[in-house]
Amino acid sequence: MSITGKNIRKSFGDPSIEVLHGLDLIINDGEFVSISGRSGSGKSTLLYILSTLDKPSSGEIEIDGLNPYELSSHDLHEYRNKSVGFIFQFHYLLPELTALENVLLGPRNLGLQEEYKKRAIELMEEFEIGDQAYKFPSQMSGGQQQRVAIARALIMKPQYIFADEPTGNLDSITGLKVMKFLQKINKEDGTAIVLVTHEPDYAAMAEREIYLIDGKIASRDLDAHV
Amino acid sequence: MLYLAFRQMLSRKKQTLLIFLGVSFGTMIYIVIAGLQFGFRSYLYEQLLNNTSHVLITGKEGDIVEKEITPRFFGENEFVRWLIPPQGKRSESKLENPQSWFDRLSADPDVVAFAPRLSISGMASKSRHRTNVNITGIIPSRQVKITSLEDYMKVGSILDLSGGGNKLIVGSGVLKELGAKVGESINLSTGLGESRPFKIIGLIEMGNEQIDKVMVLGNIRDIQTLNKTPGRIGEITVALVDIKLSKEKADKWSLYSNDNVESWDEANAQFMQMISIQDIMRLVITGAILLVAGFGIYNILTIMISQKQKEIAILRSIGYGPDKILELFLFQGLMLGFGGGLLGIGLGFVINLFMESIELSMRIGKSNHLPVSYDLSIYITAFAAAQIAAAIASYLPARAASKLTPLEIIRSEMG
Ligand SMILES: Nc1ncnc2c1ncn2[C@@H]1O[C@H](COP(=O)(O)OP(=O)(O)O)[C@@H](O)[C@H]1O
Ligand SMILES: [Mg+2]
Repeated sequence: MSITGKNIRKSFGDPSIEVLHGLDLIINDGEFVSISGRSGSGKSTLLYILSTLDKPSSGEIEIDGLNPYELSSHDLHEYRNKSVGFIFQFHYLLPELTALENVLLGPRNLGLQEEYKKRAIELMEEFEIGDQAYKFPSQMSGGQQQRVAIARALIMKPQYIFADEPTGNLDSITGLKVMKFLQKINKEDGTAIVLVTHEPDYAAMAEREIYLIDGKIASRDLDAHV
Repeated sequence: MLYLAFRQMLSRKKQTLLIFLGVSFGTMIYIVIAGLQFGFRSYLYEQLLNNTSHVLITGKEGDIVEKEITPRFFGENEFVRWLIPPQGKRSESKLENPQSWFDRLSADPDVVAFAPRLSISGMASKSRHRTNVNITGIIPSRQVKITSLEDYMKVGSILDLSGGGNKLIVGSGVLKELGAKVGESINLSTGLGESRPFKIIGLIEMGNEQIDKVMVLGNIRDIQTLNKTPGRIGEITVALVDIKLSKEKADKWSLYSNDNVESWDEANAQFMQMISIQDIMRLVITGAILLVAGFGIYNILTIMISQKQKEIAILRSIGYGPDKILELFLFQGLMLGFGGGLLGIGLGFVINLFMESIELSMRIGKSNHLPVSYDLSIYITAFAAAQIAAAIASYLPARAASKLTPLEIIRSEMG
């Protein structure tokens, strides 16, 4: 069980400029991988390709041995619904819904909101936002909102979590807290985590670091680094 | 998605309310206008003497010819040489061969009923009071099958005229003019000078002063005798199994004789024209209002979608497919259309009830209230129009939203 990228290239614009120059990488089951590098080095672009939100211009993506772009639209959405959780820098919550309802959006898509309610509350308690369950996003702090977003990403017990600078908008204490949560999920639930960050400290908290320089992988295995 | 759509709408109470009212206003206006128009239409329609006659057969208003006039003035056997021969038009029409019409109409399976009539103008008088009247001779049993005159009888029945015997039913205005009462006798005279006594046995009131002032109904045989034209038939009204056949039948029958054969819409061309003008007016007004409401829905959704890009991206990344995004916004438009339509129906109905309840100082038809139609089709049309406007207005932006890919949004949001 893994996500494999083979010779991934990505270009934008016309005339096209190549942003990713033929990357090869594997995200193994249950692994915690960080992708770091300067701003503009292609971190987000790579993350979106690994998470099926974007298509590579050339090269191949395989998820558990399957090409996601050969799946039907229904199966692809089901994969995103059940197996993938996203956390973005801007903790997009739906302002009309309470924290709990936001967390339950994934299950609701399958009509399972009632079944998952208990787990949602447990998750929120674990993230120390249990008392926020019935509040609306506008009534919560940025850190609390981000933890709601993380709980939402985790509710379906996904196989993979893709996080794009989840700590980018948080102060360092809250940022560290979020990182600890991610580590804990990875250890306790065996959820694979792909974390994009430009902060070296956070990158180093992963089991494995991928460092991008101008769309190329500069360091493959920094196991020694950990 | 219905749930989320509902929540999103509730969070924009002001805009939602505004559009909601716009849609209900459009629906309401249609119901009010159509209620009044259809109400007046059926009132006017009933006022037409031949309201269920689909074909009207009338004699040509023949030229007055010397040969007919001479014996009336100078006796049968006089030879008269006119310096200026009499000329002009007869005011009453006369069918050339009524019996052949009776035979033809009786045998036609498309004919439900027909009623021959003779209409003449004359003078009614009682002691020193006199007034001009339109005297119509009818065959009562046949006439009631063709018109709803019976509904307007205040005293007596149309069928009381059966068998003749110089009995009359008169309009309420005629009674007033003459100072007469039902049960009393009045004199009728035609232009020829002779006058005959008739007994008033019934009172009719059409609710239209102009008509009620001159309306006099009698048995056709009595009227023929009064007019000294035994057997004369002025016109025949015909009811068909299907009003749509009237044109075709009229065209065919007109080949059989010299008489005029008119289908209903030809005979009432003015009425038909008024109806189509009303129809156009109603459609234009309602169309304009629904267009405004539709644009409102379209705009509110378009603005909302551009404000909610982040949320669309989140939903998409959670695995909500394009169809779910389409639903999210489509439902909001449809809910506005549905709710607004229902409210509009309610408001329209209440306003119609109110307008109908107003006591007018004049009589219209059977009462002194505005005639209002509560035909179900009005309500169905209004509601359907609101739904169609809402559906189109919400489908377009909703479809555009469903085509956004999550990444496009995330990238643009990240700057
Ligand atoms: N949609 C796009 N169109 C054009 N250029 C893009 C687009 N997305 C990203 N890029 C370019 O690709 C490069 C890498 O972007 P990105 O992956 O966002 O970098 P990072 O996340 O490491 O900051 C940048 O130079 C950026 O301008
Ligand atoms: Mg980035």
